[in-house]
Amino acid sequence: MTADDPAFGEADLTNCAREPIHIPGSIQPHGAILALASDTLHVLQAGGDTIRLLGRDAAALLGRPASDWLSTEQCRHLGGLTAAASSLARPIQAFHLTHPKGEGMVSATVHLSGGMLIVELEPLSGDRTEDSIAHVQGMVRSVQSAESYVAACQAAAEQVRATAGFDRVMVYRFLSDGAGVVEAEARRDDIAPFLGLRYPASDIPPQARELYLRNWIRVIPDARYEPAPLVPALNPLTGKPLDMSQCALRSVSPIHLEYLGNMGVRASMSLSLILHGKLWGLIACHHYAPNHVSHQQRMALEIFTQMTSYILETKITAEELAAKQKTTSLHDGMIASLSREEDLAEGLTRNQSHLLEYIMSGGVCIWMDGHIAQFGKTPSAEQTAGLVTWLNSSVTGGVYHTDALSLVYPPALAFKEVASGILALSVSRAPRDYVIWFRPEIIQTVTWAGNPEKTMTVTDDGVRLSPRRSFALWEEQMRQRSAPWSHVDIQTAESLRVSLLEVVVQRMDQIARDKEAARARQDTLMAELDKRIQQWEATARELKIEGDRRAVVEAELSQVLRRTVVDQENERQRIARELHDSLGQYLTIMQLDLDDIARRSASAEHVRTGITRLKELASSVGHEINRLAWEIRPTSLDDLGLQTAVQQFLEEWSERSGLKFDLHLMLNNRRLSPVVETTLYRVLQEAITNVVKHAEATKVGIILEANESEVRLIVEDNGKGFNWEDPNEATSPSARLGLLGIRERLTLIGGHLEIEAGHGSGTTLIVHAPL
Amino acid sequence: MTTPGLRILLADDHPVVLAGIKSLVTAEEGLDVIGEAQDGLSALEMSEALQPDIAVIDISMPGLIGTALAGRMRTSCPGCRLIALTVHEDRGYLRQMLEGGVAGYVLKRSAAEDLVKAVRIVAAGGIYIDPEMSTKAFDNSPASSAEHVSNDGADLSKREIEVLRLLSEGYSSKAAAARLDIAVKTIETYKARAFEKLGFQSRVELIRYAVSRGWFSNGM
Repeated sequence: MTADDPAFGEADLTNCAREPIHIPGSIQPHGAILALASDTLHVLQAGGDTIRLLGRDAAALLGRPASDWLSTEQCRHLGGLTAAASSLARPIQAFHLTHPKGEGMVSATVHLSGGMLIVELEPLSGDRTEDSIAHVQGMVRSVQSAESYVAACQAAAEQVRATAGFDRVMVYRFLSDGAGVVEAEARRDDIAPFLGLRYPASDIPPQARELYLRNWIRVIPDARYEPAPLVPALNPLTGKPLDMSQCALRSVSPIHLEYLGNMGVRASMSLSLILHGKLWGLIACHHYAPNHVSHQQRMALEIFTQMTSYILETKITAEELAAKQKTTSLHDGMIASLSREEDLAEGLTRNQSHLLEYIMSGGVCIWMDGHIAQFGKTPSAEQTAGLVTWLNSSVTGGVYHTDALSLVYPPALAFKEVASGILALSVSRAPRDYVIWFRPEIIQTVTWAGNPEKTMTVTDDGVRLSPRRSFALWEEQMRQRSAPWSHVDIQTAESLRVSLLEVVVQRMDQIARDKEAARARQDTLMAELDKRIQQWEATARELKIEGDRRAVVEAELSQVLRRTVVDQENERQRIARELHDSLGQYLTIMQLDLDDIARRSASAEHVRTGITRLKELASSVGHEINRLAWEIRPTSLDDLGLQTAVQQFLEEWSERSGLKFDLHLMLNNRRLSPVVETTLYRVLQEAITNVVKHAEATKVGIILEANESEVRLIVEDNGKGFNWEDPNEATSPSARLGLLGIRERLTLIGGHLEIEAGHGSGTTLIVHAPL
Repeated sequence: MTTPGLRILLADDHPVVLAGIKSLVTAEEGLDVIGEAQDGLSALEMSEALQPDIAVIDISMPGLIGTALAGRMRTSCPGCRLIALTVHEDRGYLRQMLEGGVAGYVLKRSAAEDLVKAVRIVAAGGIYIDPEMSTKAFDNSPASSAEHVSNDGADLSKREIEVLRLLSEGYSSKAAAARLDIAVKTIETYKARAFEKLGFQSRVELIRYAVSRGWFSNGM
């Protein structure tokens, strides 16, 4: 206590918050109080109605031992209680005394305070002696079984009223700004209801609340009492006023008594509701006549209010939990569905109804990538765009909320009906994407129990500060405001924001993963492609090797074939020469010899005749040999060259076949390489053979000519021709074979054959042989 | 024997045949064998050294083949008349030998009867060809038969001439088509039309025409 702090009873409304109401130095007069030295039990201080309750004047008690008015047994009991000091921090019922004048019993409760044993005496009202424990159980059961927190409050009010008999019992809850509101009420039917009324914070000053936290119950049986002072005023042991925090009889602040008086309340009782260790509210009881509550009842009510506190705590927690679970499941559902969505904005739009339910609101806007999606009651898209611009410039990211938007953003006045309050969460940074909830303007009507702004009254003495005299209902209207965003709303929005950010991050991760996967797939494809290409290259190499091998084999085969052809020609040449040079010569010798014999035996006619026949035979043999040799291989081909051999050959065939040959032989005596000459000669043989056998021609033209690089042999007939290109053409196999033979031979010398043939237009073979 | 005999050179690579011919010739009055050669080169040397009146030469001889020998002997021994005595019945040989300057061509299988006759005819300035060969006769090459090359074909189109020139150079229709970058059918159409205008039936006729028009002025 400082010099500025008012003494007890001297406080006014400006300083009552500092009034030391725990050391009033007086008690309420319906009881008596004695402060005993804890060791000797001598009376140190006394006050109240000691005459009625103990039959002695207070002054007469001072300095005297308790044994003056207590039995030895009761004194021993007090000694025992004092020894167990720790259990005496709060008052307990010690014993009952017999009223000195035979007016019933007196209850004595004791507790320790400042090293002294405080004894409080009250008359015991004899008509309420039922089993208080059983009674409390019944009361608690009724509160416990209430379905909701509100119903529980109502049950508590009713139970208290039924037990303590007050005209009005209210469950009064403190709001965050310190004001209180009546949440439930049980009252006498003929008095006006206070349900829903608000009381300003100043009605219950902080130190009073502090005492409410320390004492579960506070009773004023008659507000119009005259306080009974303690004598002496200061404690003789400590030299200080007695701390009466725990005294049920403690005298109340005069301001409070005046306050009650202004309300017309004669008796009051307050039960504390303490939830989670904090003063949550009160069960406030008013009676319009004095109302005494016995100690037993107080004990019962104290237990009841404790139990009720626990029950409310449980019920509120459960309801909050249920709400939270609902929110969580909405949240989880939304996030799960959003995670599957390709596009966040689309996903949110799909979840519009959930968003509205998620945080109770009139409408929601999803602003993403400059696109807007709105549903429910919202400002126009244009208005929302303006609002977003303002949010971007004026508000930092995260969650922003206001229930009075037009106060901070005047253009919002235009759409206050739908958006006096907004709760905006931003999902991304610059440019920000938003989810914005809108709440409509609520013209809120708050009914105060009296004008909260006017707790001071003006009197003739000038301004006098006094507790409120007017409790006439006073209505306050609040405009351009929405229903406030609760702490839970904001937390809910915050957790959605965190989750949305996670979704965004996940999506970015997913995109990164997809990209990575795509890259991996591409790598795989490229690798596969590389592999294929390598395979193709390998195959191509193998093919080339195979091709080379075949070329070698073919070259060898070709070599063999050429060798065979050359060998064949050599052999024919040898045979032809042999026929000419040996057989022919021997035949000549034979003929010469025959001639010689004929000359020598000229006389013998029959010999000459025989020899002549032999000579003719020999001549025929010689002729045959020559023809045979020519057919095998004309020696003229070697001796005289291709053109002569060709000419000879055609003359021979002209005679044999009757074909008319038209020759244009331009080689003259030019000699070509033996292999070319032989080849062309054989080709001509084959060609003529074909013409004779198949062409049905009458005329054959032969052209043989050469330039520096090639020799050409053209054989044309005027026969029936054929379609060489058509594989189904019924040319005879031997003709085809002949042409094949021609091609084969030409190939060996690097030459080639062209055929021009058509039905009825004859056949022309054009042979090219390189030189 | 006041009349000097004909001085005869014999050339044959077969000694037994050579001996047989020698005995055949020497058996005749007025025929003297002054030399015998068994290959072409020695025949040439001997003809130059001996300057015989008549040389009877085989065609198929080592060293120098008869056709070549004949040509060489005309310069080495201008006064010598040549008779080919051979087993070759090909007219190619005959033509070559005649072009080489021989005056007689006698098949060996007829030698016993006809060689002496041939020698005497040739010595007298005549030409003797074995009857076996002469029946095959001198219609010479069938190549000389075409005479109608004088068509001047003035009304040939430029394109037809172009096609004809290529065909005359040995191009097939296909090759000509490729060269002129037109269809084979088109080439054949040009060819047929030009042949009709010129009255040709074969390439041989075309070639003669080409030669006559100097299309092959560069060498053919």
